[in-house]
Amino acid sequence: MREFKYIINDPNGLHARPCGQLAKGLSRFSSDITAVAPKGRADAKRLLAMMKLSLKYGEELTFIIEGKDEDEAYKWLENY
Amino acid sequence: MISGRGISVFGGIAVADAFFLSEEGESAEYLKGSVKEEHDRFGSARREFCKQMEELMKGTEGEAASVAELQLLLSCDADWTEAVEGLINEGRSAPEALILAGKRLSCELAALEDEYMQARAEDIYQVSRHICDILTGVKKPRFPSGNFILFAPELSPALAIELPKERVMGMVIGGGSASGHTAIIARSYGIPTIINTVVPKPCKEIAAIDSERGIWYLCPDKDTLSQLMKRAEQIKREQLFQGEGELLPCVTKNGKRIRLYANIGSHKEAQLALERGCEGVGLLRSELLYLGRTELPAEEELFEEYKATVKALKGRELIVRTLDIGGDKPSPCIPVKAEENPALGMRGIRLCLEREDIFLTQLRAVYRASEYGRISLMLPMICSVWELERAKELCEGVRAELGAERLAIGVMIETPSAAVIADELARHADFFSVGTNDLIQYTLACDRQNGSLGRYCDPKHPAIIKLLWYIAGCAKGAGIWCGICGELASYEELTDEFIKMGYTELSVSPTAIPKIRKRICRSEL
Repeated sequence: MREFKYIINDPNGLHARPCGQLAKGLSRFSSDITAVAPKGRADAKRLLAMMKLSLKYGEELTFIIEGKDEDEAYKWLENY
Repeated sequence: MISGRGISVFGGIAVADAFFLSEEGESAEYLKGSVKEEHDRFGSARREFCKQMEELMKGTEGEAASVAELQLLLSCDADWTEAVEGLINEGRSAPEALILAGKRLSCELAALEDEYMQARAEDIYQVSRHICDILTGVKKPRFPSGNFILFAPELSPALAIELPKERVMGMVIGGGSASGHTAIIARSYGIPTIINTVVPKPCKEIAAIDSERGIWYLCPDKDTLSQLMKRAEQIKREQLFQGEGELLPCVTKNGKRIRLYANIGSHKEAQLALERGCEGVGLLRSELLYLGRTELPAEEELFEEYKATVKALKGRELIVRTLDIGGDKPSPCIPVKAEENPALGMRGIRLCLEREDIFLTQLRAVYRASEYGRISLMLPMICSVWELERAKELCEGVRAELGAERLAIGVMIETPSAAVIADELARHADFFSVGTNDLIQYTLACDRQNGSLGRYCDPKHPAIIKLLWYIAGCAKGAGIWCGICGELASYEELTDEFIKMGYTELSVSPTAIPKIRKRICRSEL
């Protein structure tokens, strides 16, 4: 299992389009990727579920990656 | 005769057949197949949708493209697909499943406390609706073969691109969160357009649009029609005259110089204003770049737009009104809490002082662009001296950081409070520009959007005239110049009185420039 932490640095919070690009990008990995945010957790590969977290500026988002390609997924997130 | 009022986003007058676009569209009968067939149909309709959105992204740029991208991303979402597929498994037809799932998910988003996400509820429903239309064979609307005025509750970007622009004489759009796109499209196509209005029931009638004044008519009576025709003719004639003749300088017979400026929204409109003979821009509505989009414009994008505008003016002055956005002009990229009374809410300078990040980005873009021409700043919705001082501090901070030249900073006088303390404000401002639209609304307690107030909402009310006199007097006392940039500036019957009051700048919509120029040149003052 690997963990990747990220602080939302967009003053608008995490908006739908970047959220969707993220979900789309992550869906190529077979690992389970869970996003943990102040308002709850969601499958990071699912756009609507992520949108419902309504992430705001300054909030911390942790990705918990578990599966065969967790290292690749971690690397991808790091570069994103 | 039926008529209604709305917000004009591109000026002009037109008369043509009304053409109504309903939300639902006509669909052919749908024959439900087996569960497997319904799954297959959904799958192929979704692929078709993705293809259409990809094409749309390629064919457009900027905002329309990012809307298409979000729609594409939403249509790939697993929660949404599973909801549709689950409903098909329960025995629903694919179109039924789409509409149900679309409604269900959009309700979930609408229930969130986040304003921005609430606005996305509409997006997910639109995706479902669009795919449903593909399935049920709803064809693209058949536009009339002749000229027409379009009435629609909403203008989706996809539809806007399909419009036969040369035959669309005007647009009357209900509005909603997509109004930003509508406005941008209207301007880039140059179609007289009114948004944020109540769209009437469909009928086969003649319609007229007067987006100079923000009014549309259905089945206009003879008098209205002949008046509109006359004004349309006049505008046309003046434009022709303008094209041929030399421009007379805007000086009264007595040698008083009045600067005739234009109100514009983008660099494209700057060109138009120049052709009509403007001597500068008295009001750049800088909020247009923020409307109808989900992400804030970056500093670079703003800078490029301001630079293009000031360069287009070739040395003439450009007065940029800083962001005037809020509950009454909502933008998905700046969520504000729902307000019961948005005109009295978090808007204009208030929003900028609460969201300094947004304000500073805009200021940086303006100061950077000022290297390419003459720019001045104008602050909207000022009520108190401290607001002006705080805004000036922020401006100075940005200026110092960039090492830019100092810019003139003016105050838009558009609240009764600003008018009453104009003497104090004048000591801290470089100029005044009276925004009569809001000043009238707030002084007379008449909602601008409320078309039924008629005689109660008199723009020439003595209270307004008295305030105008007082404001000009205060400016004179402090040795600063003052102008008018509201709609009242284009009332030619008042031009003389404005000059008498001491206003030295009048900023009007590009189409009104020729008539006001004539008025100034003929003035005996």
